[in-house]
Amino acid sequence: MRLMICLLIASVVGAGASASDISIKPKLEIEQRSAVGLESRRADQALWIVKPQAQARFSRSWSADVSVRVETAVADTGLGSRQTYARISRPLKISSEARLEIDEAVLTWRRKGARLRLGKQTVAWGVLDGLQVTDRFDAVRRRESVYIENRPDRISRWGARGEFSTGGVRWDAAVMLDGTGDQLAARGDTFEVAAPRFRGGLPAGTPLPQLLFDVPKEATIGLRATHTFGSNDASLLVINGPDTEPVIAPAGLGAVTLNYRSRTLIGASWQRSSGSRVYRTEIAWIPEHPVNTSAPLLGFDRRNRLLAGAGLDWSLPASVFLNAQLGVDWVEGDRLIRPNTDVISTLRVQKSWANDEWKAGLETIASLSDGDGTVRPSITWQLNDRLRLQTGVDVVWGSDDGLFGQHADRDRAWTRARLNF
Amino acid sequence: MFRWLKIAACVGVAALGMPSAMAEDPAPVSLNALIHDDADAVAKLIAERRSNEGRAATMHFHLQNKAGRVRERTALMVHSDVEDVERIAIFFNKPAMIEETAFLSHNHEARDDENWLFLPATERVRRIPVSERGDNFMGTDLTYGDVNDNFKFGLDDWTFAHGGAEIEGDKTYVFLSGSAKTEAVRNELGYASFAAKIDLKTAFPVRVEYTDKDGEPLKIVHVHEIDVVGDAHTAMRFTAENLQTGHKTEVHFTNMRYVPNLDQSVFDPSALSYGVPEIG
Repeated sequence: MRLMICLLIASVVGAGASASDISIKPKLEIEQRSAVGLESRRADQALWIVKPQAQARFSRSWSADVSVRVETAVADTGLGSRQTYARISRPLKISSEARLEIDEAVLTWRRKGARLRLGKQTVAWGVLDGLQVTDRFDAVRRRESVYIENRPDRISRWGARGEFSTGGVRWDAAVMLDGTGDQLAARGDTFEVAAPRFRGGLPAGTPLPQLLFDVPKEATIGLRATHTFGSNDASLLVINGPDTEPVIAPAGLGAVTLNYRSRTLIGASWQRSSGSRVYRTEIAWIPEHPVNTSAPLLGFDRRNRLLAGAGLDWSLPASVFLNAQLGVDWVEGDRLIRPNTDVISTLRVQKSWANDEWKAGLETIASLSDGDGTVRPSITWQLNDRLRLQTGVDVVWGSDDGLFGQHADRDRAWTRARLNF
Repeated sequence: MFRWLKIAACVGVAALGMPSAMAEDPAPVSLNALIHDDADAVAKLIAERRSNEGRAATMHFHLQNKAGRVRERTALMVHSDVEDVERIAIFFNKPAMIEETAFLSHNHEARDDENWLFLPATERVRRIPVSERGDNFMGTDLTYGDVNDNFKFGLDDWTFAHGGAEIEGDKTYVFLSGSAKTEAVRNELGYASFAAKIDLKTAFPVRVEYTDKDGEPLKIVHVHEIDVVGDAHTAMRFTAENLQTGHKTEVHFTNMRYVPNLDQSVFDPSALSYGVPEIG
């Protein structure tokens, strides 16, 4: 890993030294998120994210991108776990309420339709919108559950990725060398997991024992092949590496360990555009997926898992956009701490007006199998080229052992401001 | 009579001034018909206006609302028209808020058009629905139909009428109007009718007035500057003003160049995520 970083830095410096007309483009983004709990009447979130970014172009083919985030949070929706990161990717702790994390540090070579990227980066696969069926290469920030603007919120890792086309097939191969897993809400935070399915079967309200983290050292490797015919894209992919969702294992008296066990995902996706509509579907098969079982408590087993989803994007008259999706997540066998089958639906309707200065949106995400869900109306004002303001409400319903119902007392009203330079 | 002779002479001079590739187009339209009364011939002349195999330019948008608030956008625009597919890629590089956002459109002769969008925040190139032709293009006062039609009027969409001709200096203009052939077309385009002033030499409208679906005045488009790029006339500066909202969009191009052997991989959807390409 260190060798790779050294090579990356040496390449950047080397490429820079040989180039006579290097262009460097700095950028800065500042985001502020605030929320108030509708039940608690307390400040639920006060988060600032400052993202300095820079792109250097060394030549027609070579460029480098660096982006970091400095975050500080002073309310109950905190900055999330650090221990789920591999040491090389772990955010640097500035204080108990502030961190610095590298979002991107990449050296890129491109020529015609081919691209090679070395460094800290993400790999966004899949065709559905936030519903992760085959889009399971990256670790994901889950400290705010699903209550963010763009899902999934990916965490970059160190590695390499190559993309090229040959014989009408688009190949995309990636290897990420660090074993960073999903970032979770920290203990006591607003969106700390409460449902037994995410706590090794421990009922909601029962304090979790001491948490230990066993971040794997294995690499994640993936290959995707995409073929386009007419207005259709069809992809096949395989991903092998540590699951980004942990299983919970006993670790001696009064402690449990989050384990990120390896698995292989074999998937396919298809999408088709047809005028004002785009149809999408994905399927993924994970043989012997690591899961917790209920007997014995904190038991572990490997079971076959099948995920499938379908979606529709529809551009309606008067600048109205609709996205509807349905997903199924099935794990075989009995004695599971999660249901065998989760059925999730999402619906998003957006309408923009005044030359896109204003946008209103309504999103619902529901578990049809658990009977819980969330509804999220919001409004966005693009005040000018630099400043965007948003406000909305997140309302949650369901029982405390459900995917969404676990946060049923976390209804909140929120505002976000984003400033770009 | 004298006036028509004068017009015909001017058009003749204009035709002589056309690039050779345009002058050699098969089945030349009768000048007399263009000037006098053949609205369909005028519409056909515009529809068959030559387009470049490949061209690229920096595209500047200046958006101003009724209150005077201004938004600016700058993008690299790459365009090609080969093998019955018109491809347009737009890579935004200013302002910072939308930098690296990229839009790609493949407009097919024989089947449905296709659009893709890359939003840096989602980190994915998404195949997106083809917007209603009457929807605003990226917050501007142009519709997707305006952008794709490139100042042409769909021969299947409109019933055309000839409004006479006029000479201004060495230029000859013909007045062409159209009404939507069906209610479906009216709803799709968002326009019930248009009235245009056409420069016969370039086959470009220099002014188009549109009415909305209810027949109320909606929008005026002015084409201020036309240039020859490669072997085709291209609009270099134009404005679109929405008469109902007071919002106005000015578009102009700089560094417009003809790229005859344009690398078609620029129009590969996956390339949208690679950032702004360098075009020779």
